[in-house]
Amino acid sequence: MRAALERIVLGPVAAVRPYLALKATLLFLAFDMWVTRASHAGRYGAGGFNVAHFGWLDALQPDVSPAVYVGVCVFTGALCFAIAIGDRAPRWLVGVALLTHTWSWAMSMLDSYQHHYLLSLVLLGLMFVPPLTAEEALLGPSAPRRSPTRARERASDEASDPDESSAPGATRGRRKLAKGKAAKRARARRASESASGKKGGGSSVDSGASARARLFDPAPLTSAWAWTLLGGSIAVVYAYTALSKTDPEWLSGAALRSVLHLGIDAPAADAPDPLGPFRAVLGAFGVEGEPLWYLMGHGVVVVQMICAAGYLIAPLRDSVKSRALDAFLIVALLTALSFHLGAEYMELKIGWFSWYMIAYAAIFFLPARWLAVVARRMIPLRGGGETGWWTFAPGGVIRALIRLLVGFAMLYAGRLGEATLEPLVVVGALVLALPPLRWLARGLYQDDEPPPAIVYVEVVVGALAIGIAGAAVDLPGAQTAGLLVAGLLLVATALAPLKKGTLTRLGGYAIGVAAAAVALYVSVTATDVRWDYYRNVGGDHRRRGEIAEAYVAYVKANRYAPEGQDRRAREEEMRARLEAMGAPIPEVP
Amino acid sequence: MSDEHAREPSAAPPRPPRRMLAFGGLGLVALGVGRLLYDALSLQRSVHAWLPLVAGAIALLAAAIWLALDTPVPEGLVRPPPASARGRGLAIAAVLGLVALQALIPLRYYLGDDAYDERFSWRMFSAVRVHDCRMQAYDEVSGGARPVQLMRLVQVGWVTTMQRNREAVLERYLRWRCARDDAPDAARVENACVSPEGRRTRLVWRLDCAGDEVTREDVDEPNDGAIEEATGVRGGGR
Repeated sequence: MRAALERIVLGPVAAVRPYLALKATLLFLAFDMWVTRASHAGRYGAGGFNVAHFGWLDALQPDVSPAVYVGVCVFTGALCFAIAIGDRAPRWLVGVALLTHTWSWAMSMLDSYQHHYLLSLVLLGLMFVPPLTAEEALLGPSAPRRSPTRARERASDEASDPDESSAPGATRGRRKLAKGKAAKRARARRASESASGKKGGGSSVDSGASARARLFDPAPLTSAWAWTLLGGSIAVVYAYTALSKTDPEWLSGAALRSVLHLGIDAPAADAPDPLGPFRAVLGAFGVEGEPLWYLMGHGVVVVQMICAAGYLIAPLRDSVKSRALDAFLIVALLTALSFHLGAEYMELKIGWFSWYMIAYAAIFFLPARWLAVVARRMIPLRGGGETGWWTFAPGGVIRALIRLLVGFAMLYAGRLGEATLEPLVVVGALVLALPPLRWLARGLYQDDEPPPAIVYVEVVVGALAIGIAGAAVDLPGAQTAGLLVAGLLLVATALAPLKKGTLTRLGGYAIGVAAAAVALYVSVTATDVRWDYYRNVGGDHRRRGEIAEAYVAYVKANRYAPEGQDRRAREEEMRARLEAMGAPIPEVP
Repeated sequence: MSDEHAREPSAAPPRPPRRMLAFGGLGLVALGVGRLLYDALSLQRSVHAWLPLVAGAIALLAAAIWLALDTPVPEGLVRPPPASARGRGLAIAAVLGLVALQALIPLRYYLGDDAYDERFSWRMFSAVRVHDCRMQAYDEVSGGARPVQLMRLVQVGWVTTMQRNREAVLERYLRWRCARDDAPDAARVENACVSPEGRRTRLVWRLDCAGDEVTREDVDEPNDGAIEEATGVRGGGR
C-alpha cells in the first residue's frame, strides 16, 4: 500500500508542467490584482463597517480601508511579477504571495468570488512544487549552468549525487550502479562540451541538428508531490460544482435560463442571445425549445464530471503510456475548453476565472512534449542553442528593448477591445515582453555571473521604478505598497552577502520588480481602474451624505473618465451643495 | 543532448485485463454520456446515466494507477522524491490530508443547516442570488420601530450581502448598530424573499441591545402574492 501511494503521489511528472503553472499563475495573478481587483477598493471599510471571512481575522487585521486594499493588491501583484521573472523562486517567497493574496479576499466578505479562494489553494500547491530553473524544467538535469566553475562543481556533485541513488526502493547494489551511471554521464558531458568548444555550457550555439533534436527532446521528468495535490484540489472543485448542479432546476435548464435571463425559446430579435451559436448548432439537429435547455442543464454537469476525472488522472500520465488515458485527457481538455470559453462567451461576469482554468487545462491535459517544445521556443535558455527564436546575439539589447516596449504597448491596445478580451491582451503582451525580460533578468547576455556592481544597479533601478510607479498610479495605498516592495528589495540586497549565490539571483528579482513597475503603471493607466474606483467612491460618499469626500472623488473620476461617460454633473452638484452649506471647496491634488 | 535523464517512460508490457479496464472505462463514460443525451432529449431528468459515467471515470483512474504501479520509475529525474522514508511519508500525508480537507470543507454547506452561506462550497452559480428580496432594517426605540436607511450607513455591497441572509454579516450589523453612542433599545432586520419557483420566506433578525444574543425567526408567509411593499431595499442580489 505504501509503495503504491509513493508511486501515485511521488511518481514523476513532466517538470515543464509545474514550472509553467507557477509562472503563468503568478503573472496572471499580478495583472488580475491590478486590473480587476484594485478598482473595487472603494467599497472597503466605507462607513466603518466590515466583516472578514473569518472571525479571528477581524481581531487581527488593521481597520480595512481602500488604501489597505489597494496596497495589498499592488504589493501582491508586484511580488508575483518579480517572482515570475526571477529564477528559482524560494518557497517562502511564494508563501508570502500566498499570504497576501489570501488576505486580499479574506479581509472582507465583500469579496465573494470563489475563484479567489481557489487561487489561494493553487498557490498553496505551487509553493511546494520543486523550485526549478528554466533549464532544469526544459532541458533536464544535465542543463548547463552559468559559469565554468559552477558547471564543474555540478558535474562533481552529480557524480556523487546521493539523490538518485537514494530513490525509494533503491538497494545498495542499485545505489552503487546509479552512482556509477551518474559519474559516467558527467564524464560524457564534459567530453562532449570539450569537443564542441563549449565552456561550462555557456550560450554558444549548438549545431542545427542537435538544436532541433533538443527542441523536440522528451520533456524532463521530476518528482513533484505538490502537483498531485494541485490536481486533486482542482478535481475537488469540479466535482462539487457538478454535484451542486444535479438538482432538478439545473438539470431541466431552468436555473441556467435564470442565470442568463432567457426564456425557453429564442430571445426577441433585438435582444442579445448569449446562446446563439449553441442554439444554431443544436437547432440544425432539431434540438430546440425545452429539449435544448434539458441538454444544456445535463451537459454542464457531464462536462464538470469529466474535468474532475481528468484532473485526478492527469498527474499520472507522464510516467505511463496508455492510448485510452491519452484519449480521455484530450476529451477532458476539449470539454474544459468548451465550458470555460463558453462561459466567457456568455459574459457570466466571473472575473478572470475562465482564463485561469483554460491555462490549467492546457498545462495539465496537453502532452508534455508539446508544452516543452512551446516553452523551449518561448523562453531563452542558457545552452538552449537555436531551440528558441529568442536567441539573442551580442548586441541584441536593442531588439530586446523593442520587444519589451511593443509588449507593454499591447496592453494599451487592450483598451480598444472589449473587457472580456483583456486577459488575451495580457497574454499577447507577455508573449512579446517575457522573453527579453527573462533574458535580461537571468543575465543571458554573458557567460559569466554578472559582477556585483551590475546587480546593485539593477536593484537601485528596480527600487526606484516601483516607488515611482506606486506614486504615479494615483490610487490610495499604491505608493506605500511601492515603497514597501522597494524597501524589501533593498533589505534583501543588504542581507544578500550573508548567503552565497543570493546576490546573483537577486539581480533577476530586481529586473522583475522594475518590470512589475512598468506593468503596474501600464495596467492602471491603460484600463478604467481609476475611473471605476473614483466614481464608485464618489457614489458611495454621496449616498451617505459625505459631500466633500464625494466632491473630491468625482473630480478625480472625471480626470480618468472614458470619453462621454464623465460625472461632471455630479461634480457640479456636490460643489453646489458644498457652497449652499457654506463649506469650503476642497483642493484636489 | 543526451536524453538519458528524460527518456520516454518505459511502459510495462500490455496486460489484457488492464487494457480492458482502461478501454472499458472509456466505454462506460461514452455509454453514460449517450444515456444522458437520450434522457435530456426526451425531457427526463437523468437518474441512471450518472452511474456508468462515474463508474467509467473510476475505471480509468484505476487503470492509470495500475499502469503506473507496473511501470518502473525512469532514472534521471530533475528532482527525485525525498530520500528518507519519513520525507516521503510526510509528502503523502500532506497530499492526502489537504485533498481530504478540501473535500470536507464544502460539506459544511451541503450537510449544514445554513443554506444561505455558500462560501467555500464551489457552488459556482448561486442559488440565493436568484431570489427576489425586500429587506428593511429597524431601530426599536421606546416600543416603536424606526426604519433605518441602510444605504446611508453602509456600503451597498453589504446591503446586498444582508439581502442574501448572510448570518455573519447580519449579526455584525446588529452588534455594530447597538454599539453606537445613541444605540436603540434593539436593532432588527427583516428580509422577505421569493424564490424563482415562488417559494416565499421571511426572516427576522433581532438583537436586544441590552443583551448579547442575536435571534433569528422564520416567519411563515402565505404563497399568494407579491412581496409586501415597504420602504426597504429591494433586489435580487445581483
